[in-house]
Amino acid sequence: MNPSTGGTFDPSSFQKVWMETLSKMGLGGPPAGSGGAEAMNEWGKQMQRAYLDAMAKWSDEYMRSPQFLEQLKSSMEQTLAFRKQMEEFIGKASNQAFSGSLMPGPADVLKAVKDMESRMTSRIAEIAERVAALEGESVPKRKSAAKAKAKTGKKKGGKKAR
Amino acid sequence: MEHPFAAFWNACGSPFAAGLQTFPGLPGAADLQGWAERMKMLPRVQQIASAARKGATPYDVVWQSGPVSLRRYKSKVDRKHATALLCVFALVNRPYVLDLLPHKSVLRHFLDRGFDVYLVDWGIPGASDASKTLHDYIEGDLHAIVKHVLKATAQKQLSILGYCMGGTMSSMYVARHQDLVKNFILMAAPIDWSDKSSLLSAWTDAKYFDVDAVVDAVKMIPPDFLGTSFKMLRPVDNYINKYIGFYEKMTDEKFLEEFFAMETWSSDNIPISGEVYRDIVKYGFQQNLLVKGEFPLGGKKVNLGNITCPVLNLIADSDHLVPCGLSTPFKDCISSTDYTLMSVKAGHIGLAVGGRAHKELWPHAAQWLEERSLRV
Repeated sequence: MNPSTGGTFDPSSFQKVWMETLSKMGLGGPPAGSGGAEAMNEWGKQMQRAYLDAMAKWSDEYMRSPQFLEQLKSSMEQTLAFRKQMEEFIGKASNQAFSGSLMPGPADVLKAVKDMESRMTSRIAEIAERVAALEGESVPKRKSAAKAKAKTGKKKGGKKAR
Repeated sequence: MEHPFAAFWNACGSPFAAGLQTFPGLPGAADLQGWAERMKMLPRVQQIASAARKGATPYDVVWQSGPVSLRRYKSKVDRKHATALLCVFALVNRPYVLDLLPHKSVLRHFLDRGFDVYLVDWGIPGASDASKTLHDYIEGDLHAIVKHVLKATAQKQLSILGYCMGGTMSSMYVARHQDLVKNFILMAAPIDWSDKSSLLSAWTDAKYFDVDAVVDAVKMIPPDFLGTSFKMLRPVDNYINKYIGFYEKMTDEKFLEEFFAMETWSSDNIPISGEVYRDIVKYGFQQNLLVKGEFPLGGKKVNLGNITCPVLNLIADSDHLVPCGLSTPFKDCISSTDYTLMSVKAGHIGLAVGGRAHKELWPHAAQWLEERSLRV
């Protein structure tokens, strides 16, 4: 983005980058005389580098421009709207055609609930421990927290794996 | 041995062949010979590519909770330091970049000096982790891991090394639990998002990017979305220069080994919980609340001023993902009197895997930690 243009992408910056590159490429010129194939190869590589550097510089500048960001925004909005429509369509279609068999199975739902429960239990146990410490009754409270954890059957927060 | 096509090409010695050589980019005889050598190399390339491993140093998994696990690395050196080192990587990509190859392993610098080294593996989150917040990761998993390490090492404190977003998360953790942390190493971690030099800052600008709409729609941020975004930060390097470099050096087996190790890691993208993404984009990139002491974590604000331990801040001069300006203001946010800044001429990932970083930076970083850790 060119700050001199007040935040809008200046097409002339595109021209400027490439003109600078072309002039750099032209200044060296191809090696004359006895350099042979190796010198030609080296010159070719230099031109290639100059070209790719210019391309990188220009693409970076372009991807910061409001034009690009506006395009990104509108493309994202379209994608999200399309996704929403597709989800609604697939949800309706699966309900009609397969009586909901494409919906998440009970195992998926159960796993999600178990994981959330595990996280919540762990947090509650931690809070209980803090409260107990504050009240000067840390030992009995810890035991009850441990019991609560054991009831859930989930080893959150410190299972030895090996 | 000369490729038959190259031999034919040379034998012609025609003005046509010579003419081609005057146009860079078009194949001359020398190019064709090189091409033939590279083609002969293809079976070996395939072998090396399929032999690429995810990490170089053996370890034990010593703690696990859901997808999150803790690795303890095995060392050939006797333990010399009582203070363990816990490494925390970002939630995007996998943590083995810190131990990519035997000669490019950050962890080995510390293992070889007798540190007890642990690495957090956040794992691959499933659909049930979509609602997991930054607070769940930091005050839940990370805190449980720290307690486990302290118990295992029979110590009251440990050292933490946080890389990239793992550094941001670690800084929040240290701010909340300074009493448990002896030393803190920050590695290319974004802290102050007022520096807008990264393209990511432009793309996440609240004017153009509605993070709530995205997270509400997708729940989990898909790995391809993140992977492509990172690659598009440097499209010419990632989509053109990389392959030119590969073609030019594909007869060098050491290069191939490093190339495929890196490719394996960079394409090993994982999803990220939508709620974590929302927190980082909204409170980090868009509102820059961490340096203001206003970043909300579990209903309370994070105050980096609580950090008083020795801090080593490692930055990469040419970091395009987390430019230095996002990390260096950390010094002004903390209360530590022992603060060291080290930089190296490298990119964001080069800080962990670059030859220069391993030669010029990591030996000094390991020494810094050695001088500040309790001995056995």
